[in-house]
Amino acid sequence: MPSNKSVSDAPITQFVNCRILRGSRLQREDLWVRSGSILDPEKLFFDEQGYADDRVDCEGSIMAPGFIDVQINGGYGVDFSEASEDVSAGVSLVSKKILQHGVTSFCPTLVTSPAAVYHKVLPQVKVHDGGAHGAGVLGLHLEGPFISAEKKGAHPERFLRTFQAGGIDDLMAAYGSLDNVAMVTLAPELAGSQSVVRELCRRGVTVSLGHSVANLSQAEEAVDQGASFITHLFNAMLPFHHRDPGIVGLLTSDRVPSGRTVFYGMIADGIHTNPAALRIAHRAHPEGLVLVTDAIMAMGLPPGRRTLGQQVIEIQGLHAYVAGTKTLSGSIATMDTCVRHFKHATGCSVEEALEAASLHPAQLLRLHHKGNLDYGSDADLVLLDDDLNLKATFISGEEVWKKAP
Amino acid sequence: MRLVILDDYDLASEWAAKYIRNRIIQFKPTAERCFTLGLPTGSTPYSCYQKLIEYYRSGDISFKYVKTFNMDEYVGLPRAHPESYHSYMWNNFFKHIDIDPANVHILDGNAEDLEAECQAYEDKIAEAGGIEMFVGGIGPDGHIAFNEPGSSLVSRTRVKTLAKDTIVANARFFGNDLSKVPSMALTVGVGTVMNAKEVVILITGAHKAFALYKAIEEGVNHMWTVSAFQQHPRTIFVCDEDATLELRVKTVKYFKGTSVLAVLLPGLSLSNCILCVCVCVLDISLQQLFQSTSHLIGVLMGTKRCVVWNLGKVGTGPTLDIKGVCMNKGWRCIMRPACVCIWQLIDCRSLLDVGYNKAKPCA
Repeated sequence: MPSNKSVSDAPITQFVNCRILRGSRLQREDLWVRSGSILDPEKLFFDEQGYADDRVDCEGSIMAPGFIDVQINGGYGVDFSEASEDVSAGVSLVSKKILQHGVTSFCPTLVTSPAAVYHKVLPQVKVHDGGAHGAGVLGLHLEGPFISAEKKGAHPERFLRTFQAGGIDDLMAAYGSLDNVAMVTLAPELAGSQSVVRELCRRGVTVSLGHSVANLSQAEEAVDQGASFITHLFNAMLPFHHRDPGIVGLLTSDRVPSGRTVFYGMIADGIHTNPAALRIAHRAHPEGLVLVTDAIMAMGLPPGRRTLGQQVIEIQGLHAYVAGTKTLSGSIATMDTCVRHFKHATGCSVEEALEAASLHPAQLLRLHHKGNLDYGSDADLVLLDDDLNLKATFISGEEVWKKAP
Repeated sequence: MRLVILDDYDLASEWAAKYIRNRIIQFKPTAERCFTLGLPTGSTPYSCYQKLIEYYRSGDISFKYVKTFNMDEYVGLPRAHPESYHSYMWNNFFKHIDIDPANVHILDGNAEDLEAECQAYEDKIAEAGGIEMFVGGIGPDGHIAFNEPGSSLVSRTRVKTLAKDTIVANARFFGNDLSKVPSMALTVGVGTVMNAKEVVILITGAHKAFALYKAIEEGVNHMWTVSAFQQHPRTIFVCDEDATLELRVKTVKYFKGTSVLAVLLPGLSLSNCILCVCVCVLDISLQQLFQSTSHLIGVLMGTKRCVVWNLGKVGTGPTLDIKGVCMNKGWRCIMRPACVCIWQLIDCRSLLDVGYNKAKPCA
């Protein structure tokens, strides 16, 4: 074909010989990309009389939207909750490293910390697009400090807070600013939380329920006010009880307003949740399942003792505990490992496993141009083999990581 | 006209696809001299398109210098609608091949001025030097493109209201809801298709049998518009057995007897010097034809009267471009093996005339 430049200056890339995840099915279709977005080739053909400038042979691989991790505390020695002078450097390091796990966008997560840490760290982390430099930052996930003391998990008790004045003042006092914040995890049984949930949702911040002893009606009340996520289901909440299912009951609650979905994070590392429990949740409410890593700074590092936020933790094999206890303090599994384990444990289809790591988190955060391969969406892609091992990662159509041969 | 009858839909599609492929290859299209191809839509040509895509993928043919003109398009249906003919052509053909989008022409059913669009289409055809080969199908009511019964046999590209039969036939693509089927379409005229140098009509299935009967065994009639091609100098009707169900046995026998099929078995190459020829001959034993024949290899596609020959080693002779072998009326003498010559066959009747007991050197 002669040069295409007369049709558009931006080069058009055609990914051939791949099976793309579209419409919840793997289809044998080519994927076309121009200027970082997925292109409709039929429109290109008839409207612009254009064709591809470059062809990339995917060798029969599966092509899925890039993974989105909405709960990741750090990795490779970087702890997002640590008030260092150069937080953005740490975020950049992690964002670059997680490309090899197929993560193209993420929410750097901060555990319960003193106000001083929030006031220092938050202004340094900005929402920005991904690229060759690393995965995109969708906004911060603030897990705490407005959580329950009884379900603090690995969070330091002395920095937990409750709502005093109610409303936005408490949030501002704790965090300093809500710019660049994508999600807040709180316990809905805390007095005064209703107005806080409402206010956060009004500002476009996703509200998640977690580290809580709320019963089902308290949880439903929060969902009514706009809460739409559950932080690491089963962990740090009351266990399911048949007369009061607690937060877990939201999966099948009939009080969720119609047209809305309650999403729930699952750490599918094989440790945080028994596979049987994972299957129960998946079967009860498959469309709401969001895979998260909840990875801590030790992810990617060799075993030993490390610091997470204000606490010391111990890594033993694939487990990470609060030092001296058997309380899990976060996982060190990578996102692609979670996807594979999830598929293996639940016996779900490849499409479902991939959607749990891409489409569902994008739907949770109301990002319509991410998490899918529809025309017009961002060309954040991963190439995988049939066993869901990563072969390459692309952001805006550009290859940003490739598996070494 | 020629009536080529194959056993079933797949074989008919394959025959047609090979014919189209070979004609394009023979034509040797270039940037200055494109091969203009008229194309149909619908369920009948689907398998033919699949085959052509296969031939493109295996490197047998390129569509780089092929210009296409589709027959028709619905009026008022959004171009991106899955049932529009633009969508059909993109999904079932264009997206799989190397055609230049600038060489593709399909009527725009959403044009502001439909009449101007039709006139412009005729002009584009004329500009391209006319259509070399128009491939088409036939409706159950005998229409070609959307030239419904009653259309003028000298008509040009224009807007047509669809007949009830056509709407009913197409309802299956619109969830069997008649109200969703477009009621008007832009279509090339009968005259437009008659202007093509060659016309290939694909007719398969028992539901088309009556239309085929009306088209070729009755007179030229505007109620069965495809009958107009009785007056075209070069028309081929490619059909399967089911489509011949309403024809007279005499007609079918006549056309089966005169068809000559040259098929080359895939996977065999010149290097091992086996050239397979498949010939359909009426009641003639080909054993008598060549004195130095080796053995029969098998029975091939077509009318079950075909045989395949192992013709022995190739001696010195001109090299052959197997892909260029013409499937049309016969095939040229292509090599002179030491012991056997391959005949130039016009049709089987000339085989009888020549006196097939002796091998003769080719002219």
